[in-house]
Amino acid sequence: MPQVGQGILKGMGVTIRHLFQNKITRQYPEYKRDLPERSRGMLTVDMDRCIACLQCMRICPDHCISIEQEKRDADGSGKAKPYAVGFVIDDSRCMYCSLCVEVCPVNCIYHTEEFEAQAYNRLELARQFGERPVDPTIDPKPTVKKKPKAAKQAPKKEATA
Amino acid sequence: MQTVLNLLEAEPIRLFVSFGAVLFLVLNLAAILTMAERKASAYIQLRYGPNRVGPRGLLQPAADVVKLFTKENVMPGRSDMWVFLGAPIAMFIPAALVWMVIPFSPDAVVANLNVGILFFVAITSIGALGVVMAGYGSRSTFSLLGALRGAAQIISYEVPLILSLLGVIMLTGSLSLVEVVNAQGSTFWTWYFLPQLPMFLTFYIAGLAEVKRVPFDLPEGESEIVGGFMVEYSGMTWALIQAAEFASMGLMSAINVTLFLGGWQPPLPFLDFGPFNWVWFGLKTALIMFTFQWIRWSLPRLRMDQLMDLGWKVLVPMTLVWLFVTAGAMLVIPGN
Repeated sequence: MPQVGQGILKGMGVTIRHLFQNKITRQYPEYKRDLPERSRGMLTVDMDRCIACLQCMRICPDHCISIEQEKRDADGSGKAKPYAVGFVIDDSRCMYCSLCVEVCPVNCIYHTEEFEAQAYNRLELARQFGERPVDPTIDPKPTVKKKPKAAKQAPKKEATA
Repeated sequence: MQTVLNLLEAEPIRLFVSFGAVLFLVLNLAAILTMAERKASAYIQLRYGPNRVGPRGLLQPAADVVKLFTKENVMPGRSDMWVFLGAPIAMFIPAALVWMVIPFSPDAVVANLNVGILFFVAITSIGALGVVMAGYGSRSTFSLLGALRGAAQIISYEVPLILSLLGVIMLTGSLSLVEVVNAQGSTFWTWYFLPQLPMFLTFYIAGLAEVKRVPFDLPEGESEIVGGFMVEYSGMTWALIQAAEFASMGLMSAINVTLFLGGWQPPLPFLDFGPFNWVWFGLKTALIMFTFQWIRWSLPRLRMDQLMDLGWKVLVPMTLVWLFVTAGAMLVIPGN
């Protein structure tokens, strides 16, 4: 009988002490935490370095990168090389897997520290980088040269035989 | 000015004006209490709570009201429309009605009934009807479970609630709330919470259960039956149920203060503010309301059998014993 209600009083004491303690909430828009090293924010492209190799477009699992390619003598070497006239990254589809960053041979696509992507319309999230806008809604599956079936099955036969 | 005051005193107009004033008070109380509830919970949990709308977030209730008015009222497909829509009204009207007999100060009472306590007991019981209507009308399993729990709980705790009032009625010899407050005197040690301490505690606990607040919120049971009787409500009907809950919470605090903590009486005679004594009533009621919130954010919910045990095996015997003690004391001590 003597300990009836003691637990209740203890708990109430804890809560009333918390009522007057300093609050630990960080007020987000005013106070922003420093992002950790190598954090993956929104993607950006350095168009001067891009060689339009289309590797990022091919590896993207969400097909969120679309590139419009053209042969052009951009660096004045007298030789027409592939050049990206249109480059779009659709942030509404990007899942920040960082595969495009890893695959880029000239390190021209990379993550920024920007992570607050918001818009009233899904299409507003597609960011254009090239001279010419590219339609982000078209699935940018590049045409892949299919290898002949015989070549694929040939090593199998050898293994079994 | 005098003619206007005389006009306001004339009977039908006085009733309408005071009814409007009470309704205004109750609805605003509900809004303020939602804000207070969120702030208190946040501060107890080391958070800030709403602090974006207006200065220190104080305009949050206004934003909530706008949001709730623009929301669609969704009804379950097979619900019983009239019962479903009538339930919030059946919950709100009793809660608002009893505020009419609460004496804010000697002159500020809408209806000075000579059976005020009986009126309070009778009208608050109707609140259980609203809970059952909400549960049956929505035709949802969770709602029905919540309503059944609510009915069992409210009817069980009605018994200790009424029994705990009897001591005060015996001491005062009157059922009028104004008489009860007048009999308590203007010093805090003559208020009824000291001679009637077990009754006060019983009334407090039974009142908590009666307004379905934690630790007696089994009808709502957020974590087990997701919202109980009000799980199907949305928009303004939900807001009305919330308003009714907060109004009845404020009402229970006000009755607590009126019966046991001396109503508008100042704690010490020299603190008498004359016509502004309603300040004391407000302060005491706010204190009790805060303890309700403090308890809500501290204690876990009781199980159903624990709830029934507490009601029938602890509170009812305690009140019965203390009734006999009170009667014996009144017999022995002369001039009481």
